[in-house]
Amino acid sequence: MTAGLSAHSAAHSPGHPAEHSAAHSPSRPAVRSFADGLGVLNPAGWFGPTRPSGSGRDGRRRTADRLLDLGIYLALVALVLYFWQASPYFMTQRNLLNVGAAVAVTGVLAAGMTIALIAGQLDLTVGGNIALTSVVVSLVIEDLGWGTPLAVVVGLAVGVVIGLVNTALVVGVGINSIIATLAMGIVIRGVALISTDGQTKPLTNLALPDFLQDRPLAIPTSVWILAAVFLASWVVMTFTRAGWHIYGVGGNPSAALRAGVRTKRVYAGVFVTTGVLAALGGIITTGTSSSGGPNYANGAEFDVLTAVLLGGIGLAGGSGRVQRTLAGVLVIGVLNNGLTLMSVNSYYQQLARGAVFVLAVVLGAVGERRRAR
Amino acid sequence: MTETTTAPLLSAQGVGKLFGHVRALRDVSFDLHAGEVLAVLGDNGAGKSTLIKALSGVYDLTEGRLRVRGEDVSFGKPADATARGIATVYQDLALVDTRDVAANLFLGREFRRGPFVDRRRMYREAERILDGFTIKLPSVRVPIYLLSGGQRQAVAIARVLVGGADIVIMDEPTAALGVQESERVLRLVRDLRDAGKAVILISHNLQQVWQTADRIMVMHLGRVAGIRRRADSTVEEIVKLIVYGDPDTERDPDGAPDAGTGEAGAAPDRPDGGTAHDPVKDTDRRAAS
Repeated sequence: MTAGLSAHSAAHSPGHPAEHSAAHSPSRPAVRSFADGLGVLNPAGWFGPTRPSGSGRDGRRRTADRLLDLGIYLALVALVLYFWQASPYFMTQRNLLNVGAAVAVTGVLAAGMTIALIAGQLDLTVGGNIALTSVVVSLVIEDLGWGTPLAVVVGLAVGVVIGLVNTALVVGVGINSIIATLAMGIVIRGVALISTDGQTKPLTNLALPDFLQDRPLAIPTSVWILAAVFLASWVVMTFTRAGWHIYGVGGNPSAALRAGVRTKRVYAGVFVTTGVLAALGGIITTGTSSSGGPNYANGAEFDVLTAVLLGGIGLAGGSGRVQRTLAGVLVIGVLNNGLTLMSVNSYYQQLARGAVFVLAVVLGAVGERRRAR
Repeated sequence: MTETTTAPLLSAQGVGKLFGHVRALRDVSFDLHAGEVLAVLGDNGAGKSTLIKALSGVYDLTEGRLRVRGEDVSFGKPADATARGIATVYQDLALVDTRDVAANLFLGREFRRGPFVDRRRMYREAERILDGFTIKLPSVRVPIYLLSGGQRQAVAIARVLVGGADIVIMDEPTAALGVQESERVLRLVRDLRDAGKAVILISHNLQQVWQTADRIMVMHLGRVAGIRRRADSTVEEIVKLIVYGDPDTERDPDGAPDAGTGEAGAAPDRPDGGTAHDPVKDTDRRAAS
């Protein structure tokens, strides 16, 4: 037995320096970074000035990587410049505000989806959420006659409830958020269809449509809401403990837990946020269409995901910035608007949108490979 | 300097852990003092990780007493150990790769000013802590994924200082590192000791332990084979403890279990016996390297 032990020990005899240096090059981490596997463009650290004063390759970013990180902003600028010279109507105040109003709902949802993805989760209930909220808000205004402000509060409460149910499924039961929210989205739309018997519920009380068609300081209310949502998301994610914990939980859940972050509470906050923002999108939709419809926003999840992924928010969690999502949203808005101004056939518009998306994904993959090198 | 001059920070008395019928740890007793590095050595399956998990609150003990600063403690979860000033630098380092150095140092305990995090104070504080380190980082604003293995290890160690723990458990800190970075990390371990922390260093690498530890505790098949002051011991003695669980065992040409270490339950671990191998040769190789 002693001989057995001894042989065993010899086989595992650890760390003679000669063996060590042969096995690993010392200048390089032997364990490959978890972040190497992150999807698409990774903006982490871009806006903080990173002083590359270290020796070797550690901590240094290449110019090409930085350019790749800037991709979505460059794309937005390029599109704006192109349509500016291509159409005389594009660069007018009125038209630019139209772009803003057109992407308002997608944008509000995309802000929520960004936060969910940073936390490493996905919320696919947002389309159903919009439908149910719009139906509930119109029913409360028309059939219950509670008045528009109260209806808005009820609508946001719908979002909170949906967020809590999602939390219960994902955190409580432990179902993957893609599956749980996909299923819940179908349920929610079913509830919306049942509550109006599949009919669209038109508003006769026009307080909400009037509010949304108003233009304080010449800017549509929906654009104000969009701006406020992104400003608030940016502040929360960048400057508050809640935001830092969301990044931490998304980047490494077990590390966050061991560091004392209450991860379940973080997830609950994230799902309630996406729920409330989707409900807000539903309220905007109700106002701009003057009706509540159980078929509204069918497949909205995917438009939203397109915008978020254009912004380079990684699916793996822990990375991404809301300002990049805003750029992604605006790229889609500018593209739709510009192509329409140039009277491009809508089938080709579809092709162009897809092509831009593919390009963004390809650039993201290139950036990822550069980083993994 | 002797162990009796100060009360131990951490003291284990007859500690044991059963998993069902499997006794992973039995009758483990040791003291740990401020300003010392206690290395825990042992072959695979010797009980090192069970012991570490018990000390950091991942497992609860089934036998014995654990005392921190003279007070009896029992840990139900890792947070209980943290609350007693025991911090563990995990093998996986528990860092968020996408976040920058400062965000990792202060994860879960961010400084705040009003409703917002006090970023400036965290960056300043992070720089102050890491400035004293032999491993240099390009900046505290660099995300972890851009750092080397040794730099990551440094960040994980700095987290301990931020948390104010005085008992630090380090699980194989050099396992994934090259020679140069291992040296730097071990230097950090000694710096922690010099700052008055009590450090438990788990390692496979006898040579590194020799550079770093004040005392060496060798575990063998779930129990303490011996605790030696490094200055009073030899590599050969430690190797014998690791391999046989007994310092006095001479090489047995038959490869039969020594009567002194004889532990009936020990045999099933390695039933085959294998070819005879000279442990002293092993020792020489290690010592020479």
